[in-house]
Amino acid sequence: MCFKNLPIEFDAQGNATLKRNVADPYHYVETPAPTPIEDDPERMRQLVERNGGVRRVDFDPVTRVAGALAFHTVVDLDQREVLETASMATLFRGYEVILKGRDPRDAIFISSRACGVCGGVHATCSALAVEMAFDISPPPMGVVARNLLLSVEYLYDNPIHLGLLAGPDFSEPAVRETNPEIWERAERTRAPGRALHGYEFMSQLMTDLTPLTGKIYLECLHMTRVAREAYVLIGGKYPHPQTVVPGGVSTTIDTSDLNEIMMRVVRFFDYGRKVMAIWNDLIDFFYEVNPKYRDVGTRPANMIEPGQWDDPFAYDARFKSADDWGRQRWAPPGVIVDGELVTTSLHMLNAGVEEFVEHSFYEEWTGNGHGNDYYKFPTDPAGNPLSPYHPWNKETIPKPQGTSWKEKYSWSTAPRWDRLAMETGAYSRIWALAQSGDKDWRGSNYIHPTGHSLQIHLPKAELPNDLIEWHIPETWGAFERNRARAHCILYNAAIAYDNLLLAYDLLRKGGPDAKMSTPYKVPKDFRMGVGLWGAGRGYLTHHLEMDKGVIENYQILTPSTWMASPRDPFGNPGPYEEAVAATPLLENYEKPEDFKGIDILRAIRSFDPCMPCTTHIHTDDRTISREIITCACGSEGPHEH
Amino acid sequence: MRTWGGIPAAAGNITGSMSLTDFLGKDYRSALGVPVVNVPGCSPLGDNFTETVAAVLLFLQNLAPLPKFDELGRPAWLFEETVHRHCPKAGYYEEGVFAEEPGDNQCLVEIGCWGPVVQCNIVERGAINHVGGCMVAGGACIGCTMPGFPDKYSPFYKSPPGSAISGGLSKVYGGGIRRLRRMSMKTGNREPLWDKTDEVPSGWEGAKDKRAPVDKVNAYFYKKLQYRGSVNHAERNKKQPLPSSRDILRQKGVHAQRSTNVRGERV
Ligand code: SF4
Ligand code: SF4
Repeated sequence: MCFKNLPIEFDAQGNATLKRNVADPYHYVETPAPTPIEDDPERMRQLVERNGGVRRVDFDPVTRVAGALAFHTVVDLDQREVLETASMATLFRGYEVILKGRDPRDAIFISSRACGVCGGVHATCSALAVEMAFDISPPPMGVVARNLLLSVEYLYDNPIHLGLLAGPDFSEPAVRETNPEIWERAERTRAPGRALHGYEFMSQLMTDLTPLTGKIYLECLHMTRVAREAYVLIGGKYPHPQTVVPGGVSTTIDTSDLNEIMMRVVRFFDYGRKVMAIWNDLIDFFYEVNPKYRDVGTRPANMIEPGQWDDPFAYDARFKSADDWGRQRWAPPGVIVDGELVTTSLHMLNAGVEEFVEHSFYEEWTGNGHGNDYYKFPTDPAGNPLSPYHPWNKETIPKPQGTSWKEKYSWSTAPRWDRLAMETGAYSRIWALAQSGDKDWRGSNYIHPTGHSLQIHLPKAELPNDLIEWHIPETWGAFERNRARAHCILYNAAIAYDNLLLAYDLLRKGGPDAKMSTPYKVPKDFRMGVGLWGAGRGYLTHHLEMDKGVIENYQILTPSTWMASPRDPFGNPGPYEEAVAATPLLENYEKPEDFKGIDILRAIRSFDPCMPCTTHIHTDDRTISREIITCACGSEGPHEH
Repeated sequence: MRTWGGIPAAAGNITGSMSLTDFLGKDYRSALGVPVVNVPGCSPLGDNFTETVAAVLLFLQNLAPLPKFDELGRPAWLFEETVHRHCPKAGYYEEGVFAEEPGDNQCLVEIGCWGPVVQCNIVERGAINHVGGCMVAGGACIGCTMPGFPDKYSPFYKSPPGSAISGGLSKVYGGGIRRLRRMSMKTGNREPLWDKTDEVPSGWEGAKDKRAPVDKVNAYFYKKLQYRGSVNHAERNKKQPLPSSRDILRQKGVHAQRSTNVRGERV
């Protein structure tokens, strides 16, 4: 019984049905959001009277994932706590509206453009949705080629987050500026992972994390280029691959392509170990200095993982068999509630998803869950109940208006699973896999789930072969997100390696399995499909409905929509909001003017919100702007705007 | 940087998105006095962008010539050629051989490539570090550098109507040319020594010792034309004595059934 809040029950055979005798099963009564502090002069006065440290601090970064992201907080600098948070997606681009009324064949290349960082995943996710609607599936080699594209995309994506986006928050300039006492201690502390990363003292490691000049930073830039080279060998270009087609890929793969990719992938077995050692040392060092760092960005381990990397011999693009091919994925699907895996069924994962717009700049399309008799799809194609708030039932009706913390403040909807806020990312992949420990999982030659950890057997590269292990942490927070992501470089490399060997084998055997694509005709009757796949930052689905050869409805649900989501109608904040609200302010500041917000930034950035442009921090009296790519937090000091 | 408005400005656009050129209009001049510069692509190649900036900076420092921009503000030296002209599959097009389905190695025009009419340099420059590029990896061009993208190039994966004419002609003409070339290759794929001895000493299957009479006649006339007015190497080769160490293992009585080293010793 995986649902606690949705009106779904299971019969003796385990089939999901709507609860009987409930009049309006999906109807809910909205819990009003708390009144924002600034709209409540009395509370504001009390707070300020009690201490002078209450400040409104707004972070206005620009992301490339789900449009621009801004973050509003009210902090109490005396009590060192965060009082109020609001996460805002500040941009609407309307891919769903643009895709409506188009030829379904356009969906792949057009939806790819939804993201300039990880467009490749949208192309594939869209291809999966289109294939389900067309009822075609790629030959095994086509699936393997897509798996390779995904794994080398992550070989670029995870390092770039760790080295370029998260790393600077732990670099010498940032640490010296925000916690000089930690820097002093780092100068005296030996780094346990020296054999892998080469640094004797923690301080030396932090120096090399420094943006633009640090060796770790520069090596990361270099390695991301290596991964991109591997990608464009079969994808043509990046971020928008030119070779993903309905029914497979249009790449011609020969032995030299595979050799060229292999040559690049094996380098990540050594590099991944180095990155893992760097982050293990950094994280353990901070915990040792102050155990409260475990609470930075903490929230319940509620995660959603749609699964990715299909088994080329199991995947048939059919919704009805999704539970079977889903479980055979290199990253099997899973929903984790409070740290426990509650389902590995793609059907249940899909049926549990709803999107709410109470605090988003959209119009409600259902009449608040009433009238379950008339909404489009009361069940999915396999007969499982669907909510009127499910993406297949959703309509995108934008309604721009002014920002109000109590009412509407974001272009992100509030996706929920079983009405719970979920996070997703590199870590949800390995968490779900570690716990599923599925005995029938044909998975990988190198990856072994134990139930509480994930073991990766690394083949010999320049370093000797080795066994590394990632353990499910006890407290879930910002530091553990980064640790998991660092382990994922090796996990991705192992999957790339598995798929390379499969590709060689398919080439060797030849025949229909080695073909790249399956022919198709655009069907003219009504069809629906869904792509369940992963993006760098986690969960990705494309839901599609088409009729007469034209798209009727197209819904893209991205990881950042889950995580940057505003409050839901049940009174729960989104994951960023929740994580920042729980963050203790451990930064060393004497006057409020010195406050840099490093702990809040570490908390938000641990989700990999993908904001490679600019971050503006703005407090009541001034705005601090900082370029997060080119300089460490505060190292250039605040600029007055 | 969807230079021309791209997908946000495509049919169905409700956000009012448009290109910078549309937004700022004809009269815009930057601090340096130039109208909008467009480095097109969805997304543009990083190297194209950096090179354009570098070209302008080098010029301003009096170190390089004035960079040329075309009538739409594109760096002309990067975007004046069609991508088809430099495509690694252009030879297939010329010989009239086309991919029938995605994954085939030949020219992609029949599975939706617009390269012949698209100004882009990705196949010469590569996508990154000179690696990749759409058609290099088997991806058909959808015109993402062009102002008409995407609506004037969709539905994707459908062959452009114009290709029926040019592709059809190239099938006829290219088919003939291709056959002639295969003939020349039959000659060019043999050492003169093999012609003389009528034997190809290759241990691999499929090598033909003797040439068909018609190939011999073809080769004879072809070489006549080729060497006319210069030195006739065909004649010179005929006079060349056979090298004495030719086929050394057989001379020593060693055959493929026995594994030997080059001195004929058993190993
Ligand atoms: S693949 Fe496209 S660009 Fe290349 S030769 Fe064929 S038509 Fe021209
Ligand atoms: S799709 Fe066409 S225009 Fe776009 S990068 Fe590829 S070859 Fe160039």
